[in-house]
Amino acid sequence: MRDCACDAFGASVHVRDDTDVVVARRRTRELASRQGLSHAEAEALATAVTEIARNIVVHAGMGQMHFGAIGQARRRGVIVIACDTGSGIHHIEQAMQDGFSTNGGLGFGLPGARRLVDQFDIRSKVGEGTTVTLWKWALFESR
Amino acid sequence: MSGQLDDFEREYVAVLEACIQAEDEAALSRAYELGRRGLGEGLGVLDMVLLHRTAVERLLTSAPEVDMHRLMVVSVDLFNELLSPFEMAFRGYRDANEALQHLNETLRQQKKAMEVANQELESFSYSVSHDLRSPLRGIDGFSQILLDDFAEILDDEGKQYLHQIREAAQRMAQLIDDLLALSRVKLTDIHRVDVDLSALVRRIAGRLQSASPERSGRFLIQEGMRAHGDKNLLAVLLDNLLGNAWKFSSRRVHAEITVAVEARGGELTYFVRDNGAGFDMAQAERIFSAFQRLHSPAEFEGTGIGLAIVQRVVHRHGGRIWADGKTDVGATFYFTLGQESGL
Repeated sequence: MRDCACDAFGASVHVRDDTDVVVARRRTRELASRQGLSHAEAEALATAVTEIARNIVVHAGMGQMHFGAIGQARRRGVIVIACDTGSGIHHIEQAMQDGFSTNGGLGFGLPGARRLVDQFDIRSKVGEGTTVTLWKWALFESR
Repeated sequence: MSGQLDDFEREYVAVLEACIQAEDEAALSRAYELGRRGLGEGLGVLDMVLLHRTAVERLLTSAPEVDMHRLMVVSVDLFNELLSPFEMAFRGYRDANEALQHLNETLRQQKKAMEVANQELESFSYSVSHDLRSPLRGIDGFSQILLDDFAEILDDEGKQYLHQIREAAQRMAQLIDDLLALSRVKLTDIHRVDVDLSALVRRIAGRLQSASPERSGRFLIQEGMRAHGDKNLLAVLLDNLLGNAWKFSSRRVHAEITVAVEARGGELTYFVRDNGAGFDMAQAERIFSAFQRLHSPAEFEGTGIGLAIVQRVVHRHGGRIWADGKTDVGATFYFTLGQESGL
């Protein structure tokens, strides 16, 4: 499987199965804690990462997740880029709607993840794959 | 549900025990999956609270020597995971609810604007109709005076013109009456009662027959027809349908008009059938629109509003109306009266 086109930075995790989902969650928490995110913020981001990673396992089979620290001294956060080279999403708007699922799941994966982060971006090309980017900022300046 | 909760409980206790040994991300992830599964199977937050409490109690019974401080920290983290899917779903419901409220508000405003516009239109057409009547009375009345008082200075051609003026004025008065009836159907409230439809039809048929005693047309009226609807509006509806059937079968030597009811797919469908002039099915869509006439006034008189009134009465009852016909063979008008109709 070829690599995604996104820049590799910070920690990266290959996502193929549930064990990798666990690793991705661990990376998220580590970085969130380093960046001064509150427990609740870190938990919300971990939940979002879980949903995106699950999506990769279930729909694309495999993919990569990159974790990066962002911001300056006054404002810090975490960026997570998830990309796969799976079949892509045919109708992104539909996939972002609640209750939509092609896999018989709960269907709150993508829209659920979007609600838990500060910024959310999804790009997908049929036949080429999907890239989801999550941003989560520390609400208060770290002490 | 209890068997399902037992499964959840066993799994959750196992996760809790594993985490006490050495807290790791895999156990947290299992707790998350458990919460996700619970949410998917319709369990609630309070089910999760109970599950957590029972699991902690069970652990304390089976392992009383457990490090309490550690148990507290670990169980909060696990509980957090267990509830995270619910938090996500909750945010989804909140968003959906907001979107729904927004949509409802938009719909409410649109409905209100439409009601106001409709009301304005109704009162406008009502007052215009009224205002049109008085000059019309003048035209008709003074033509009558000319015919009565100045007959000797008018020649036959002049009289003929005056008759035509009167006829035209009367036709216009009829048109205005029909328009007023049409807007009244929309303005009045519906009061549903049990109506003896057969009796109502017989009364209208008798009136039509006595108005043209020279005709030999027959009415075949099903006995025992009842309806749950507005008595006055149903009379208006049948007046128009029977009047039409009677009018359009006037050229038949053996005119026959059937009024009956049948159950179609659990719904009572009333129909009025005649063997008159009929209509071209290609025009079936048009016939319920106001002022649409498929026949010239010379063929059959009328204002073209009758069926619009009929349709409005049916719609006010929440029912449907449709027609079936063939040129020179006859026409059938079917209607239902909505959910509340019935025997």
